[in-house]
Amino acid sequence: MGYIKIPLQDTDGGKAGDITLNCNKAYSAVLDGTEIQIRTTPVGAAGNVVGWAVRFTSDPTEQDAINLQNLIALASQKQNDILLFELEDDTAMVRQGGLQPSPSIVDE
Amino acid sequence: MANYIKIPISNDTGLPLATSGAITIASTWDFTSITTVTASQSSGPLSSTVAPVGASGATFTFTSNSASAISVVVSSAGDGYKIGDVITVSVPNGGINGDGSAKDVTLTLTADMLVGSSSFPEELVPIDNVLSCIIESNNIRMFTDLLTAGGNLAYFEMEIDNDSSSSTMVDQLLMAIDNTMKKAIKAPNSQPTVVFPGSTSCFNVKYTTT
Repeated sequence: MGYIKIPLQDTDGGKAGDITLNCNKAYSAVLDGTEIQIRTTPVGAAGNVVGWAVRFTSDPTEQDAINLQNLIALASQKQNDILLFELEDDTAMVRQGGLQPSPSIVDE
Repeated sequence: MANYIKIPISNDTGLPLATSGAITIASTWDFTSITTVTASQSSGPLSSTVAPVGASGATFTFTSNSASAISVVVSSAGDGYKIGDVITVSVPNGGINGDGSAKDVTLTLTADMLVGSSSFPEELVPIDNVLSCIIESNNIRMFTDLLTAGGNLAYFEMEIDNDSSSSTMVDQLLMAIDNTMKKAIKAPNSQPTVVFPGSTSCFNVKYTTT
């Protein structure tokens, strides 16, 4: 299927829970500055693609993006399952307001 | 087949006010107590009272144009309002009120002055195209991967009546909906129902495609 979940920060700085991302149509996860961008096959606005910009409570690395892409590939083989993604810094969470579904992810 | 979650719709009759439509039309208010409206003025946000008691929090801004016609803005929608409630706003001397003393203006609430609410006991939301859920102004949006004509992502918005004072209640709301999605993903076609935490409920679900 392709569902993953990522720890999410709450308003008070604690952990709200694990937020679910539908990565059924995802094809890559890329480090862009201090965020990871997940790109999906649906075409977005102005020739860009649909996906997410994900910002964490600590900065992700290239290896984190590779790990996420590998996990998405693994999740695609799992029927009715939701796989947990964590940064190598496993105390990190998606920060408040850090999960942004977008029609304007640039695929260079 | 598609995978769905169910959103129970609140039968709580105490709701926030609408912020557009009839409630912002000056002719629906009783401004007759103000005999002299000063042109080109604004009252600033003014608090209100309501009878019978129960609701609270609504504030309004009254503005007059150069012809002394009054316009109304709902500055804060408050909560707990019902059809038939009478809202009173004391407009102080100065600003739009040229009478020399504070004057009360009133409004009797009709159904179209409250936030729109679903007439169904529950709403079905298909989740197959839902990318993820996020918090937006105390409501929960479920963004899809479907593009609107305007180039935005279409989304379902759960309009929430949050009567809790907990700072993390909206986070708990988000996770309640997300956890229901997880149940649906793990058990396709089970159509699980969202259990809203604490004193929160959903009064409407909208699909926004603009």
